[in-house]
Formats: sequence, structure tokens, C-alpha cells
Amino acid sequence: MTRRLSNKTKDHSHPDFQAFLYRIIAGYCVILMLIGIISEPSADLLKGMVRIFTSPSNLITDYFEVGNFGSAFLNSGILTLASLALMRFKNVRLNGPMIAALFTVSGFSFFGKDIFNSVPIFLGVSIYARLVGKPYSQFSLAALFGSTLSPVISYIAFGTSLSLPAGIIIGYLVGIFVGMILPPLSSSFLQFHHGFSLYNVGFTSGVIAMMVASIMRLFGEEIDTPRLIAEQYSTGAGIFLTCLSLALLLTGFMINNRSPKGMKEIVDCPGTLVTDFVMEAGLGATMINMGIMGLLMIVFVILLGGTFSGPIVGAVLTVIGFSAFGCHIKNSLPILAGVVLAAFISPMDTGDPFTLIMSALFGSSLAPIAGYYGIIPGIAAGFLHMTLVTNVTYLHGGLNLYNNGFSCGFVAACMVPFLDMINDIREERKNGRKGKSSPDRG
Amino acid sequence: MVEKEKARRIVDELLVYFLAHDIVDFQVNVRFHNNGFTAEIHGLCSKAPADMDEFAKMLRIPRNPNMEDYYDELLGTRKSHADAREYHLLGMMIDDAQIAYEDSEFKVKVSRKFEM
Repeated sequence: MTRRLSNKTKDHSHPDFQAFLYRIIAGYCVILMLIGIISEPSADLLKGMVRIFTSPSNLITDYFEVGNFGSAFLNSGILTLASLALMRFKNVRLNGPMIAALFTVSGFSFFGKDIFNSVPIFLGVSIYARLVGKPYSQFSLAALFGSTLSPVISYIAFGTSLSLPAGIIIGYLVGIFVGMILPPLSSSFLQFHHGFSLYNVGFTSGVIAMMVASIMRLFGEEIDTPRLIAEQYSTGAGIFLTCLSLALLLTGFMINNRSPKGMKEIVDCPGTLVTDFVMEAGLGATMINMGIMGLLMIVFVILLGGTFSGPIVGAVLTVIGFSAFGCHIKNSLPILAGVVLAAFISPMDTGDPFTLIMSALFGSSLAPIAGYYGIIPGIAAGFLHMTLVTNVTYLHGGLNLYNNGFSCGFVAACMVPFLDMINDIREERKNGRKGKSSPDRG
Repeated sequence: MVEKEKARRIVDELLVYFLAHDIVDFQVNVRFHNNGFTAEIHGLCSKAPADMDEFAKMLRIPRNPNMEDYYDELLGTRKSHADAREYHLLGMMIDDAQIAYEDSEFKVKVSRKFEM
């Protein structure tokens, strides 16, 4: 038998495809801004924006509460559009990971990111790119995800006892430094969890923020961790998320020639890093998956009695984004089940489901464990994540917005070697039964 | 130095595929030239790997320089389980791939141009 397979497939860097994708995401940003502008009188909008920009922004700072409904949407639209414009300027090719990164920026702009505190990270990454003599586009993912550390800048500027000018200058310098060290560290830390935590930068940033927080505490600066959560805008935010999910679903369906073609490829993927669903199954199927996951998360929040506060809107948008880059219904449901199981069999108070919902939604970072090792390990991963996530916030004082990503890194690092060992034993036994000699045998 | 390291990781990842499919008698040939390198692995196996088409599909993913610096640490680090089927990253890091099964020999040849 002779079989030959060769040649690279057509990629999605075709200018028409890229222009189309850029236009879709730009349209999404404009809609966010329009929602913001029409929701509030201009004076309230402006005051809300000022309050957002001058907030320390560490976890949990809901921009619906600090600013107002309109200013949080406007902030999200502005920062996502600015990020998109930067990507366009740097000739970055949009794909699944970039969609995930842009939706993550958009989501976290409801509770921690704004243009004031994100710029130093982008600058730091830019300086790093110049230092190593490579194009900025190669580090664009690190830059976008890296703005998770933006509260470091805001907290130093507005949350410490420093004078305002000194706080802003020191905050910016620290932010630029953080941006410079983030790309090599985030790449290196991938090995810690073997690519089984999708929110890898969350883990890296957690380690960096832990060091920043430790230094601040060493010099007598206690970090307050606020709990500012607005529940009064839940209906409006829920309608927005539902409309967005339905729009993604229907647009994907239309792009996909009114068929679910490609969905099987998506749900068959384990979702480990690096799985780009746009490349794997096409844009149409990816958008369908994003829409389905968005609706699933909305139903999950409602079933658990949650409200669509800024952080939960951010969490749903992040999951929608990562549904272009690893998450799908088959590998995410076991994680959700594990988190809920841990909450309900422990004495934890589930009367306020905020922590439970946030942990479950962001626990989707561990979806590759369920996708690769199976449902039971997936449930166990969700369970472990729920036990760990509430204990790690103190380490970084809420200065790392991707707190769940930090926790998930530890969970994956602990589980993957253990699960690999089980697989090794199974394989040894299978080979033994077949009478094969195993190359792994010592 | 960076490209030599990338070559090592690419070969490591290819070895993962060979070992995962119990191909344990193989030769590796890596050759650097002015603007890139070529890695070729060929080994004996009684039948073509069952997921050969899927593997080829992943290797045929277009190269994506925007991704490789961020994720290349993952190359060659995964365990070589038979059902492991994640070679997207490998595809993103190479410019050309040729896969063939002929006369009980499975052969993979990949090439990569140095970063522009």
C-alpha cells in the first residue's frame, strides 16, 4: 500500500477573510460603545468613565458599580477597539486565539481593564519585542492577555498612599516592566501545566502579581481587596449577552451555508493548547460554537440564581471568546459539573452564588483535561479548581484579574502527571496483553 | 541558536508521534541550509498509522509566526500516548510537510524557513 499526503492547506491570512474578521469584531466594539452611549446621559457617562479610570481596579471591582451601566459598556468598546486597531496596525493575523484574546479584553473591561491601565503593558511588550528584534505581532497574544495585570498600575496609582503624580509614574514604570517580562515568562510557564490550562497568562500573571503584592506588603502597603458588585443591571446585561450569543449562532450558521458543518470536528477536539477552531473547522462553525457556549453559560448563571454583574458578564464573554480556542460543550460541561459538585457537597454558602458561578465559568480554562482525559477527570478538575480558587486570591491581592487562570494552572500541573501515569499503566497493560514490547519500559 | 532550538523541538514532536505509534526502528536526518532546515524521519512499521490522514491534516495547517514564539515551549513535551492527537502547533511551525507510507516504511519530511 502506498499513500502520500503533502502540501499545506490554504490559510486564513487571505486579505478578504482577514478584513471580514476585523470588520465583524470592529462592529462588535461599535455596538458596545453605542449601548454605552445610549444608556446614560452624557454627563453621567463622563463621570462614570472618570471613576473607572481612577479606580484601583483590583479584584473584585465591578465597573457597573464603580461607574455605571453605560460607562462600563463604553469602556469595554473603547479598549477592545483600541486593541483591535493596534493588532491591525501591527499586521496581526486574526485567528481563534486572537478572537479569544479580544473577547477576554472585552470581558475584563467590565471589571478591571481600561485604556489607562492597559497601555503600559502594551508598551512593555513592545519594548521587549524591540529588545529581541522581533515583530510586535509575535507577542500580540501576550500583550492582549497580559493586560490581566493592569490593576497593578491602577492600584499603585490610585490605591496606595503615594501622591497622584508619583503613583501614576511608578505605576506606569512597573506596568512597563511587567509587560517586558511577561512574554518570556508566559511561554516558559506553559510547561508547568503542559498546555492543559487555556488561560495560561492567568497563571503567569498570578506569579508576577504575587511577587508585586509581596514587595508591596514588605514595604508596609496592605492591599485591600474590595467586593464591589452591581446586581441592578442584570436584566440589561443578560439581554445583551443573549442577543450577542444568538447573533453569533445565526451569523455562524449563515456563513456556514446554513449548516452545522464543522461542529463535529470542534466537539471531537480535546481543546489542548494550541487548537484554533477557526483553522480546524472554519469561521462559521466556530461562531456557532461561540454562540452555543454563550447560551449555555447564560442558562447556567440563571439556573444557579446568579445575576449578570460586570464580572459575570466578563466571564461569559471570556468563555465565548475561548470557544474559538479550545472550549466546547463536551469538554466544558464536566468542569462546570465538578465545580457545582464541590460547592454543593461542601459547607460553602451557595446562597450567594457569585463565587460559584465565577469559578465554574472561568474553570472552563481546564476544559482540555475533560477533552483529553475524559469526563471523570474533567469533573475532578472542576472540583479541585473550586477548592483552590478561593485560597489563591490573597497571594496576589487581586492584582491579577485572571485569578481563576492562576488556580487552574496549579490544578492542571497537579493532575496532568497523575493522569499521564494512569494512561502509562493502561498502555503498559494493553501492550502486555498484546505481547508487545513497550519502548517506555525501563 | 533560536532556530537550532526550534529544530530540536520540531524533531522531538515528530518523535512523539513515531513512539506513540510503536514505531521504534527509525532514522532521523536533519539538515540545515542557508535559509532554513529540513527534518526527515523514516521508520519501519507493518501498516500505516491509523490516524495518518488526521496527522497530515494537522501538519498542513499554515505556518503562523504570530503563535510560535508564545507556544513553542509545548513542542515535544507531551507524553507519547497512542491516542494523543494534538499536532496543530507542529503544523503552525513548519512551511512544508510530506508524509508517505510505502513498502512498510512510514516517512515524514518537514521543512521550515528561518524567521523573516
